[in-house]
Amino acid sequence: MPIKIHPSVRNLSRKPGRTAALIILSLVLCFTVTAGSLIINGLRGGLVSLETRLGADIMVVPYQASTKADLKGMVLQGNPGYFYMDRSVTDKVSAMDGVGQISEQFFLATASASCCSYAVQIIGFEPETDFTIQPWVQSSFKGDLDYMEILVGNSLNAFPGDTLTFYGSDCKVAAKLEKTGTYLDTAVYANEETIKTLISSAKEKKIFDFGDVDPDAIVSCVLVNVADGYSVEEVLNDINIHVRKVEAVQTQNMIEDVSRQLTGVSDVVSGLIVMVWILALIILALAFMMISNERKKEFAVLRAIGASRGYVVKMILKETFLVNIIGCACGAALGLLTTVLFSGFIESSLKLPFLLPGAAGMAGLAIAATAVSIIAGTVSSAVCALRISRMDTALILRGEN
Amino acid sequence: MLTLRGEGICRQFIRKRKDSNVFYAVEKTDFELPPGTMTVLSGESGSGKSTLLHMLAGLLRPTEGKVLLGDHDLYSLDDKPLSVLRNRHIGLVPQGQTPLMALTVKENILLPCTLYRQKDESSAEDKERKAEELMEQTGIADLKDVLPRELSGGELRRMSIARALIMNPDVILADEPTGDLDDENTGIVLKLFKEQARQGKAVFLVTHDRDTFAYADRRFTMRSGKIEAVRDEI
Ligand SMILES: Nc1ncnc2c1ncn2[C@@H]1O[C@H](COP(=O)(O)OP(=O)(O)O)[C@@H](O)[C@H]1O
Ligand SMILES: [Mg+2]
Repeated sequence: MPIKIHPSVRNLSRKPGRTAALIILSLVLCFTVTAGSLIINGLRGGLVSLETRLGADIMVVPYQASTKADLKGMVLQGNPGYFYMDRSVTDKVSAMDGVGQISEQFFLATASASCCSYAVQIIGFEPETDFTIQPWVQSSFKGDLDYMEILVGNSLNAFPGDTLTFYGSDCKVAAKLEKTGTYLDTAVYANEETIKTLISSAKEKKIFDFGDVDPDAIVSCVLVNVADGYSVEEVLNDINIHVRKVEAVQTQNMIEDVSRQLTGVSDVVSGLIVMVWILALIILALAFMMISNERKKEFAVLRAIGASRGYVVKMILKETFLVNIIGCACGAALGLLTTVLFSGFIESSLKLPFLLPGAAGMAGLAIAATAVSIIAGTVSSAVCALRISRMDTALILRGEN
Repeated sequence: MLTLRGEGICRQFIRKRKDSNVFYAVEKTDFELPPGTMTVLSGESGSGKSTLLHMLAGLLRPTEGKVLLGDHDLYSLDDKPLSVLRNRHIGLVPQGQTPLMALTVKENILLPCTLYRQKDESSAEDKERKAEELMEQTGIADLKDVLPRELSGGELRRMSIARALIMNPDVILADEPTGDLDDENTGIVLKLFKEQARQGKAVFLVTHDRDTFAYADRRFTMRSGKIEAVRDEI
């Protein structure tokens, strides 16, 4: 058994204050990349999810809804809303050239519900024609929704078998849907028949001023997929010119809006990461420099008793590597924890769709962030280690002379 | 036993003066440290003693000349083999206090044994024993698990000497080892070095402490980089 003395470990453990400060620095380094890259990733995930969930080329809504920004508020920020237009719109639209798939949707908002302290969006779809909700629903719910059966978004506090009461009508929860990171997570889904019953109940209770809407003669939104060989713009313009009192909105445009905002937020987050990194790396490099200057004499003594330059470099690197690995592991864990815990808060304060990757994806990101931080920390100390190993030992040993 | 020998070594440093920008801290000299001999070099501060010692230790490249340890030309070697040679054959007691603050007394003393793989691993116990023995001889056995910040100047110096002796080096180089010690500690330290010389080592003391002269087998003085042998007793 060779004699083992670990000067690097000793240096760290015998100076707990200094070691803690260094660990915190590298923790900050790793925390910012982990949290930052998770946030950027979550925003991208949200956008992709929104893109697939919207799933139609064109949304036709009442003219007021598009101008009052109700639609955007609903789709992008998940503000519950409702608006109606005459059902004849569907026929007019479907009669236009270039219209492929077409399906109606019905919106209703609740004041509050037993599941939730806040207002909930209810979305009704036509089971026969729907091409956006059912494909997505399939992974959590197979079969058809019965009358007065509903599906609930992932963020709602309701579970299969529960009964939710809206405007005095009881609905049974058939399934809970998987997370999308978009407004769809806080919504409730029902088939056309069910939502019409709910709209009638709401009208009777006079909670909202619906005027004299006839539940059977209204629709909130008509979703359109353009047929092969036609351009979306063409069809969109046609609808806008020929169908009165409605606005056809290109979903891609809405997504581009989100995408623009997302780029903005991503840029800010990346900027912050870069700033924190530059600062932390400079402080880290300075700290290593100061510490090694303070211990210059010790390194000179090591050289005097026969340590090679390589030994000195390795010793400094080992010390900083230990600090980095502890700091970065804690930073990554903390970054993961905060992003996951505050993802709801991030989502609501950024007002953008936000969908974190799954556990494996997040772990991968955290590991990558840790690796990058450890490499950066090590490089910043390597400069100092090399400098120290090349110092003039004789000059330092003459010391106080 | 390897002999350490400087052949035609000198060392220039840069310093701005009226006439010239360089000066010789050590002027050209041949200097040999014979085994079994205690060589003492005295001289005023700034006369070039440490410069000479560091050149002999392989830590400071001479401006001209060679330093030979046995057949090895120290300054023709790469850093690693030179460091290994220094570790195995040269015990250096640097000027001033030189503890590694994070290590205990015993760990400080054993540190040279941990730098490179030892030829036979079984020697670990021998080294432990040797460390105990050296601490006994230097009178710091009770302090083995103590950290350097709790030690007095004399104790630290004795620790540094024990560390220089742990590898059983052929040559011992000590820079002002008694400079800041009281009489009692000075006596202990000098007897230790004398004992090493008696065991066949080449011991080289650099000092301006007159107490050391009585222990010297050979004496030199140094003035402004020039070395002179001292023949007579003072
Ligand atoms: N690295 C260096 N650069 C410039 N001058 C030096 C250097 N090392 C030593 N000197 C000079 O060389 C002379 C001899 O120094 P030194 O060998 O330390 O003297 P001593 O040990 O005898 O007190 C001094 O004048 C000192 O200032
Ligand atoms: Mg000196």
